[in-house]
Amino acid sequence: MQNVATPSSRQPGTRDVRVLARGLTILSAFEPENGWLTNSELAALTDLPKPTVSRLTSNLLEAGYLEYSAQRAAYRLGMPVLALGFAAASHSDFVVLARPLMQQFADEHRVSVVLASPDASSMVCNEVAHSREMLFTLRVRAGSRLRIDRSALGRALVGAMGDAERLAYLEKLSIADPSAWEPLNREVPHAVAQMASQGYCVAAGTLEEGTNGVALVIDTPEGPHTYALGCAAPSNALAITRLKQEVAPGLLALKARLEAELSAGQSE
Amino acid sequence: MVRTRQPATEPSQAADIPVDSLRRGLEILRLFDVRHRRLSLDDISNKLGLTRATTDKLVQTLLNHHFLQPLGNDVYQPHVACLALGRAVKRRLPTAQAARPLMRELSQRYGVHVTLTTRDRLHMLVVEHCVPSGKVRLGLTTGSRFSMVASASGRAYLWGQTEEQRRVLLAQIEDEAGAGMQRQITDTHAAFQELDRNGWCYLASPVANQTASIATPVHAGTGVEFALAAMAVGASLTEKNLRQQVAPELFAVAQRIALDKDAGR
Repeated sequence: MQNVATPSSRQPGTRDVRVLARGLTILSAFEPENGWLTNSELAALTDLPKPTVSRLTSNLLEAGYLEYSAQRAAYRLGMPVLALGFAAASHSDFVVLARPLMQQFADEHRVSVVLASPDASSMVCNEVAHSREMLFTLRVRAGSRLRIDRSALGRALVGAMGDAERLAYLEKLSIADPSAWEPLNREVPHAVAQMASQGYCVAAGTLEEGTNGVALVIDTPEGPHTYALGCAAPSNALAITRLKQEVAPGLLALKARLEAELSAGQSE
Repeated sequence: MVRTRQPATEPSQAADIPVDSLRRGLEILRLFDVRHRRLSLDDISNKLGLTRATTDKLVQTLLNHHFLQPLGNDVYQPHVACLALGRAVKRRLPTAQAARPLMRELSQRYGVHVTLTTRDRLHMLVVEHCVPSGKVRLGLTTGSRFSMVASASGRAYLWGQTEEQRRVLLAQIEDEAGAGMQRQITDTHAAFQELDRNGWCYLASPVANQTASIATPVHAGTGVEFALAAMAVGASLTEKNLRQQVAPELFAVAQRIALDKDAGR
């Protein structure tokens, strides 16, 4: 089962500068593997006309964001893009605050802990902490994308949204990525019910067979459910009973602590 | 890794299309670094010389695509789409993957930071960085950038370029930084002489007092795309140790990385 996502073609926003929006779409088409792509392949992936793609790749090459192989007549992301990732990974006070607490939680409960935020039809991992006790860990790192419909993280986020926000989000998703929308839409009532009654969502074997996970949302001063925080482990190490009795209450306590620290930081 | 090369059919075709907004949008992202983690709309428009209205439109597009995140009061920071792109690049860096175990071994044996860098415009960009056990990272990690002429890595990289490329790059650095950079340029020429003699150069206090670096270019194929550096922090390793013990090992590791890189072509 595919547990990682690729950014889907985006619908242009109402206030988008078109050339920039298209350039960003081209860049995102190289995720997650950054393989070599020709202009024709990029045109197919992004639904943009080939002449437009050719002009954009030419300019992205000039800016250093793409590199070109004459042998393959194809492009891939250039090394300067690393700096974008660094800027994003190092910027957030919240991530800096969360990092040691996530590691402590991962070690204590022998799980992988993920802090993620939504981007198109996926959840992008802002920070990941793997238990140092576990020999095998999930193949997820900061910057990885997880499918929003299959991960507990995505379900928790959608389950926590207000009705109007959720409808608007699902409507956008149904146009941008029907394959993610359909299963997510089916799960919505269950996710909403779980979030309302428990404050977290459980996903058993949906992200990847043999993996159990639980997730909730973090509200920040910037807005509600800015992030989703979740943890997962192989089902033989994290049975649903332990997940519900031990791990989920611990995750709720971690959420409360993070939100309290954020709130204290804001009032200083 | 295949070297970056200009495709034959461009970029002249691009001149007549409204690509400025793409360049400007990318320049906005480039403004964010470790010293500028958050920028306001006014900061961005001032730094790029754009009107507030133009900047606002570009920023809105970057927000819509999750390249930026709003923090309130027209202040922004890089967001998850940047993170995901950085991750995608890191997954496909064969030179870094081949270099990592060699760098780690050197780092642990001598207790030094070991850094593989490449050029990003007039800066050096960290491709891979190994921190010795128990030491602080010092802000150096994949994707961070530092000055070319003020670093041993940058000087080694410059030395590895053709005389013409070196002259062009140094002229650009002088143009950009003005007279304030003159001393660094002079020191860079002195470093070239050391590189001529030894194949590596030494620099005291590259990032802080009590630090010292040595660096060597990584020759592969017909040119130099990377530089490899070792940095000692604190009094644990003297300049003499760095020069006499670490430098030959660093040089040998750079050669092994180059061999791996050539073999992978």
